[in-house]
Amino acid sequence: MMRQLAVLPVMLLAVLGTLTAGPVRAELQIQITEGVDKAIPVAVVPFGWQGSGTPPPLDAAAIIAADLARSGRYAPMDRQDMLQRPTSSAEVDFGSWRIQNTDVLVIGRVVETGAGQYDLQFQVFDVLRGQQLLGYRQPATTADFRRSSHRAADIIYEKLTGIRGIFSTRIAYITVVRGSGRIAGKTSFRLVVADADGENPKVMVESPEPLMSPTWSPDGRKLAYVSFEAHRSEIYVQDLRSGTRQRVSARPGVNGAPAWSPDGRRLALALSRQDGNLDVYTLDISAQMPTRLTTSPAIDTEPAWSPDGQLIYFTSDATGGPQIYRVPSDGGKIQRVTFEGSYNARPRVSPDGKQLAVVHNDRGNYRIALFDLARSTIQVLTDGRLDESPSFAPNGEVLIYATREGSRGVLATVSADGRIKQRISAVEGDVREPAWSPFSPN
Amino acid sequence: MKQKAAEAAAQRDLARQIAEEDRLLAAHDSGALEAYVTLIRQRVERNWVKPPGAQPGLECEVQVTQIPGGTVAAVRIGRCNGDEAVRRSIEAAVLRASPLPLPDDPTLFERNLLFTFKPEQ
Repeated sequence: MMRQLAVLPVMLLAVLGTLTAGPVRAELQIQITEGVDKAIPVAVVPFGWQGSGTPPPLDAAAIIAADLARSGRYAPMDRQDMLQRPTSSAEVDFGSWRIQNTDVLVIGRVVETGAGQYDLQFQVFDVLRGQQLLGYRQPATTADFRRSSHRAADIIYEKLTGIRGIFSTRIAYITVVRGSGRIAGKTSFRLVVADADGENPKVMVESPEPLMSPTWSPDGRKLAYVSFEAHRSEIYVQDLRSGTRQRVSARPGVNGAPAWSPDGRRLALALSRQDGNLDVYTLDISAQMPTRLTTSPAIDTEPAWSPDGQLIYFTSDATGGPQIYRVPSDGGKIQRVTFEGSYNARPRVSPDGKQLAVVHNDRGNYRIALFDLARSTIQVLTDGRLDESPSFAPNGEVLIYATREGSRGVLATVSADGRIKQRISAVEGDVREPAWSPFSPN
Repeated sequence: MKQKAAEAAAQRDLARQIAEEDRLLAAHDSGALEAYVTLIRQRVERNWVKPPGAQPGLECEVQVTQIPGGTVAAVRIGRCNGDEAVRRSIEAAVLRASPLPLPDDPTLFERNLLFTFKPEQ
């Protein structure tokens, strides 16, 4: 790339003929065209405790530091390296933190406000300028202390980067547990919801028959999924808090690949009906009436909604190998979207609607790639052999996907620019089909 | 005569400025000024951790005053189409880069620097 080396000599500001030539402001002009990709050093000091009862069950500062580290943008300082541990702004000595090359300082206190009730009071400082950037109070209880700490991390992250944090969001996924399920000696399928870091997993559904394709309602309160508990595919909608569920599709043939519409009223899904050939439909959840969108003799499946709800992207093998197509969600003309490569499948649309995450065949390996809708370019993000099921975090910065480790499926994340890859190690079992939740309601 | 004296002073001022300009142009020709600018540029670029908002299309001017020795005394963001996180990253880059490198030829030292942050990718 051409770099513009702007070395402009000083320009004379004095104008001939003017007798009142002021002081000349000489100036060197310098163009900065590049930066570095490096994690910004941050110190999250252990929070103080103000209360008479039992101290909180978890370490809020440790949770916040781990969240910031996981973003890849921040490098938290080890606690044993902290020369000071201020818990109030009056105790902050910026000079000392500057010497330790810390750019951002987070301090805080857990203040007891009642039995099992707390306030996380915290401040964020720009050490280089010696200024407070943020002061905040996040209520917490014994039961939701971890979640409240993730929320605090979200608020800090948004202040520092300008991007909404995703640490308090959740992930849903399927695990297959062989020989140790609820029914002894039998394989067990589980639909699990966990925090975005994989901690705090909760089994929402367990079945001796396969569970597949979890998809979040846009308000984050429900999941739709496919269950084979009746020895054939059926689609259920389940409320996460109450556990109550509703069977929404059990038509003859395949009922698969549900995807929730952005307005929450419809599911897009793949049905085979009597003729056995998969086509994409939408289903009004309350009226339970399917509307057919594709009629080709090809396999049309894996629908995904655009964020404005106008379009449905899907996979079709109409031309041989699987490629991505789109159709207006109320029906209409079908358009092919991807042309590059022999295999592009399972689209998911980025929150800004500008990109598709797809599974792409990259020289014999199945990898997660981003397809840019405006430029029709494809960028491979991952380097596994069998990476599958990409799902965007609601801020669009990160994707979660399933990859293989030996014979086991594990979860991993990759930043949308491909720079930061991480394993979610807290998740056990043979894992597949992760789905990232929307931003959670407060 | 008062006016004549002022005119003479202005003439001297102008002559000084022209001499200054000639000297800088000479320095420019010899590459010494360019080398100085490159040193500063590289040091600031090494210290600029680009936030997500720093994309091509961003353009931010920053006026920096350094004191002899290269210590940054003031940073002022001027015309800038970046968000708060971008502005803070730019200010941090300059502050982290302080003290700025000094020129081999001390006469090339310049108190006032105008940076333009304009990422290419």
